[in-house]
Amino acid sequence: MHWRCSCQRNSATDDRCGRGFSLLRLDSYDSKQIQSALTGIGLRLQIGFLSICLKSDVPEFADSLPILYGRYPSSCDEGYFDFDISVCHTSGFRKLFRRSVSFELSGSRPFMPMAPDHAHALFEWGLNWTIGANAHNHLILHSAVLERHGKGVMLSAVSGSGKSTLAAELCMRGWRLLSDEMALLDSSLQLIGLPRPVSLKNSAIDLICNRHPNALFGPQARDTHKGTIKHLVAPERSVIAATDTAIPFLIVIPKWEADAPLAIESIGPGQTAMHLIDQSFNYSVLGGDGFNRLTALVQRAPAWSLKYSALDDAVDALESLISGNA
Amino acid sequence: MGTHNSVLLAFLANHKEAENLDDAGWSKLFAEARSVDLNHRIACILQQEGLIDRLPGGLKAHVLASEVEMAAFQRDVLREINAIERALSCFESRRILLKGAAYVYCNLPAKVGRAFSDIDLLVPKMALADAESQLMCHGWLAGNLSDYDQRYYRTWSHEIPPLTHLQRGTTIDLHHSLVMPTCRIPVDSVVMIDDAIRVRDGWWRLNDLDLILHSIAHLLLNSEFTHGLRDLSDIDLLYRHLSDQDAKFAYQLEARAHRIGLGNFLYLAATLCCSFFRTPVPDDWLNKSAGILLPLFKTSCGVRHPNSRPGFQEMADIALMVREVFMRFPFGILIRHLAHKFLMTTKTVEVTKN
Repeated sequence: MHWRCSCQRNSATDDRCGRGFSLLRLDSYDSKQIQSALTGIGLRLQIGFLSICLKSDVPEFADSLPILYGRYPSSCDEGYFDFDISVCHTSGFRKLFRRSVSFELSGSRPFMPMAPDHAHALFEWGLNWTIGANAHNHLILHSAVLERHGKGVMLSAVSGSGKSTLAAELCMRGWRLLSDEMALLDSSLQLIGLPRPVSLKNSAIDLICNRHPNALFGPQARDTHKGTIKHLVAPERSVIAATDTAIPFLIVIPKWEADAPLAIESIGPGQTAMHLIDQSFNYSVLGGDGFNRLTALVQRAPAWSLKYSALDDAVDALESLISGNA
Repeated sequence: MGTHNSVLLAFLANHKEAENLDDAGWSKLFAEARSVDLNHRIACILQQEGLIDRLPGGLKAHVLASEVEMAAFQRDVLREINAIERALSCFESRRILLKGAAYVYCNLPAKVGRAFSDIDLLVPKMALADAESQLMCHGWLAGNLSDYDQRYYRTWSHEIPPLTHLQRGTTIDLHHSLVMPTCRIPVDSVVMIDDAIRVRDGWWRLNDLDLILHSIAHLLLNSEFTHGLRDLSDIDLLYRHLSDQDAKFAYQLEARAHRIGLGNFLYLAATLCCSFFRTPVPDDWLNKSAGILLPLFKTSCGVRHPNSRPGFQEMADIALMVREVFMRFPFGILIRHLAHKFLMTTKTVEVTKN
């Protein structure tokens, strides 16, 4: 059994789930309905294979939801959920002086409270944490995942190497987004989709804005611990195909460097495995099974390092790697 | 008390309740279990009782993920115990594994679905310095503590400051007594150490009776309420397992509790266990400890999920915390301790202002 069981059920029946509650696009509800679900029994949001029961009393967050998740299947009725998350005002006497917002999973708060206009970013971080700490039937690697012509590409790199920027550029050019943050690899070595808003930081925001004036963005969050953050809304095609898996075809370790000429180098499976272990959320939790999946992955998908300064060069390089002309 | 609408409590009292759950009900069961750290244990129970096929597909995956995580966890614990064993290879006194580490190492039923963060060790007080220095030689060091905190641990506490391993970051709580020596209830730790039983490879554990009594003392003297229900569940599992093997177990346990100084605690814990898990304890133990403590613990050990937590839980938590501090210290030390903490807070506030 896989996590996908629940999503196949939901995706197969886009608006009627067979389990007693209907799923509609979130933007088909009006803001009052969304508000009352968020402050009442919870809004059910279907992100890939995950059902989230979401509660919030933060107006800024309620306003950001239809922008960032407008295209996602959702429901204002009671029903199945995987995780119950709330993004609510922190109570207590601090509230009298300054509003702050906490992320809660089933009533426990793993993070420090944040400012209300960071609530949507807090939700994204919290959801990453929730998945990383719970979804152990997948090998979870820190990597963006996209698909082109049926071929899965993993962009795996440390934070700050331009992974999300490259992922944003690729999905604006028609690549299908599976994830901008974590690659989920199931027991049959398929990449599981979990398309969510792509988190862009600092100068990457203007870069993508200028290149793609029609791209949709969520609200800007200034002065977070990662600087200024803005989320690119996942393209509709990626959201509709959210539960389609992809076969890993290529592993790329991107590195953006100012003024660097394009450089692509092949990396051996051993070195790739070491890199991926370093970038994994739960490799050690999976034990022997994690080792087997990882070694099978690096043997199936060749790996390349990609150093670039111009996004267009990087995209061209990836296109030719995909079509095998490298 | 809000217990009626808790899916988790209904299920814990009677696993047959699962037959009435719909998809949303199952989801709530898992969410409530997460709120009190019982999600892995619930997953194991569902697996053991063959209920997993009734689950909605997505939650089946949660159960399997729990299984993966628990296997990893128990692997890590055994590896860590192994490392401690090597570090203490020249240690000549008894080294006794406590709580979670003991459950895992001795394969006791309370190991099922139980995660914990530290390994708890108990050694005789005269051998404490020995154990500490040998662990230090192998990389377990106490963190940076203020002079006051050092003194707090060394003079008054039943354990030394937590020792953290330099490379692995794992933590050992090294105890020389089962409760604070200053505690108002004198608990005879020396007898417990003397009567411990040898397991293997130089490791010891508390005997069957003391295993339960220690678990009870820990629950009722430490205000770790987020784990309250899980700790009660440990006691329930241990009691069922041990009393199953020996018809006289209950009476031995009662006699031992009085001998150690925990008679009233046994009745209180038994009443709590029975009310949450229908633990088959002797009827005459129930409600022997009347008074305010029972409803307070019942409230604090309840579900902690925002949707179904009992009313007044926060107030019960505070009341029990005040009680715990009171139980731990005689009046003189209490005043000194609180005065120091108060002065430190004002000092910190001033420093931050500047």
